[in-house]
Amino acid sequence: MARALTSRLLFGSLIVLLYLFLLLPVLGITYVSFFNSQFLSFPPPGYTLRWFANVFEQEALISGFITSAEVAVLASLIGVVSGVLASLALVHFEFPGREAIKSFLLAPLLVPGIVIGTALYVFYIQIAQSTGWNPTRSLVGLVIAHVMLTIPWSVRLIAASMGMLDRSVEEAARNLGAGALKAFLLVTLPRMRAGIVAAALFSFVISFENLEVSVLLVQPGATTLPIAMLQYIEWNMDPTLAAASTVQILVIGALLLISDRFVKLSQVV
Amino acid sequence: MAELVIRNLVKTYGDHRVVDTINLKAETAELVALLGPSGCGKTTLLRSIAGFVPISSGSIEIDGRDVSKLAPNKRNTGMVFQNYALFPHMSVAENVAFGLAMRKVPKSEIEKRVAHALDLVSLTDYAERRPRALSGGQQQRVAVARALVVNPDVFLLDEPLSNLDAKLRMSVGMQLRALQQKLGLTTVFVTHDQKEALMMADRLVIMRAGRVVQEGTAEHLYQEPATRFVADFLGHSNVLTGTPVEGGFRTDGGIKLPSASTDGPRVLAVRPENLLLGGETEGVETVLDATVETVTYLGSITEASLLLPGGERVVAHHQNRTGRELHLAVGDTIRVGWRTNATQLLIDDMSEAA
Ligand SMILES: Nc1ncnc2c1ncn2[C@@H]1O[C@H](COP(=O)(O)OP(=O)(O)OP(=O)(O)O)[C@@H](O)[C@H]1O
Ligand SMILES: [Mg+2]
Repeated sequence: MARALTSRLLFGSLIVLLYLFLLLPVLGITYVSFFNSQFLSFPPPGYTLRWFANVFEQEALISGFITSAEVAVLASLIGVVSGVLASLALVHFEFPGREAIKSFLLAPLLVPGIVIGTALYVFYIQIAQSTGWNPTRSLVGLVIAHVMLTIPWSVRLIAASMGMLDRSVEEAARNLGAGALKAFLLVTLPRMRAGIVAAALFSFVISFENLEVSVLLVQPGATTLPIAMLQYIEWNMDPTLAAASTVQILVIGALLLISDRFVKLSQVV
Repeated sequence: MAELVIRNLVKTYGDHRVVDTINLKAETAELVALLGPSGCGKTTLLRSIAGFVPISSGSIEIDGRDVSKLAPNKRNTGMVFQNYALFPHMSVAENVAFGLAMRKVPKSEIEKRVAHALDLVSLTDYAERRPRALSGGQQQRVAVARALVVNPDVFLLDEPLSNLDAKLRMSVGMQLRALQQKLGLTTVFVTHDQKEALMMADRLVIMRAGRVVQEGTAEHLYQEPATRFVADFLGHSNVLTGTPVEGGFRTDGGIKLPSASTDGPRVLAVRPENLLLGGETEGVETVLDATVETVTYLGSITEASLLLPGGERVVAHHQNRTGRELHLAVGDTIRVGWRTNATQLLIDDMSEAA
């Protein structure tokens, strides 16, 4: 009895420690965002909410947030749609070069972000020189870059969720008179919902927090949030960024809670 | 209601002829069971009727119309899948309504027909449930209702009972058969369980390695198997290998047995229930002295494995009726015999495979 209790206690404390370890940076950032001091110092001289107010006065951060959100929404949308189509081809059809295409689609996971960024930068310059249209002048260049980042995740997650589907269910729909497209839309697609939501969430987060690919591809005045933050701490050491991060954590947390209402996230990841 | 005619159907995967020149006919309202060992091509044949397997050559006709080039959704077959393949994100009623909605049946009529179909399989109270919240037997009935509600020309079933536990199998099978007869459905039923086939089918088609070996009613196949494979597959048969000789048959063990003589066939088959033991052998053509090797009491019958003088082993079934119980012990010597008209000389289609 006693030994069982001790081992349960030990196990329990291990779990608590692990969670603490994972959450500590988040808790730390949140804590720091309330410090009433111009420079980070410990112990804090007092507590304040003024850094939160300051976040909303920083136009660079606000417009960075908007840019990041726009890019992330577009990149995950495009990523998920292409992910569904690519998975459909990869899972349902046998065709020559299938394995090669699969590796190609997953490849950006293996290439360092800064390399992708540089390569695209050079590529875009060439496009600009030969056509006169510069992709980095609008969000297009950035969105294309982020789609490259989101596609491997979408393909992975959606193909996995599709691969687990039993094909006879789609066949049953065909047998009952549904054409190929109707069977896909009415029966297969709804059953992939969990994978699609997971892919969209992952894509959004990956795009939203990306720094290294974006850093070369943004134009002055239209940076993303991570870049705006980087620029801010070059000149300031106050807890404004901690406050901005706290807001960001809250927003993403809210997003997760909302999507959990539609798809139980525990089924997804 | 319709007639299904399959002519010279071939399906190859690479060099492998999975379905090899099959000719098959199911009359209106007839239930044909495809029976055969695992991998003999039953599912492939059924799926090619439904249109999920593009065939290599041959034709499939439903009511005189060649459907072999049509998409699955254009064939009007109703298939019950082995794992039922219900739509998990739809209620039972929505599952059943799906085929009607695809046929653009008006809403009010869909409701009526779904209610009727659910009533037919006694699932009216479960209409709003999700398939996940049903037992295996109930799921199977949903699959049946979903396939039937559209009035298919041909009803196709791939081992519909195999996911049910042994107790349910019998009663669900009988219900399915009753439903099929009531609605007069032309049906092809795949199974590798001979009991299921015997219980449900009007006609059995025995398949082996992509070909039809023999077809007919259960009695016909059991009593007059065409080959050694059929005799052994349907029930059990004692098979003695040897050669036909003048006026009889000489087993490889050297016993000469009386039998109807023929040239081609090479094995002699006797069903276990046709082996007579002890006093029963009085007056029969073949009587031998055998040694008892094992005895298994199975209630209504006693099964004994016997060693014949030629070294062959045979299995005998003795019917245990009150007053004629059999007392056998391992090692006993007992007389075993059979009537010549209970034996069959069969083509040996097993030895080349073995
Ligand atoms: N898509 C495929 N590609 C290649 N070979 C296949 C394919 N589908 C089936 N086969 C082969 O065809 C043969 C027949 O398969 P089938 O599923 O029709 O057998 P079955 O009689 O239904 O067996 P079981 O009783 O085990 O269900 C098998 O040898 C199988 O390996
Ligand atoms: Mg099968």
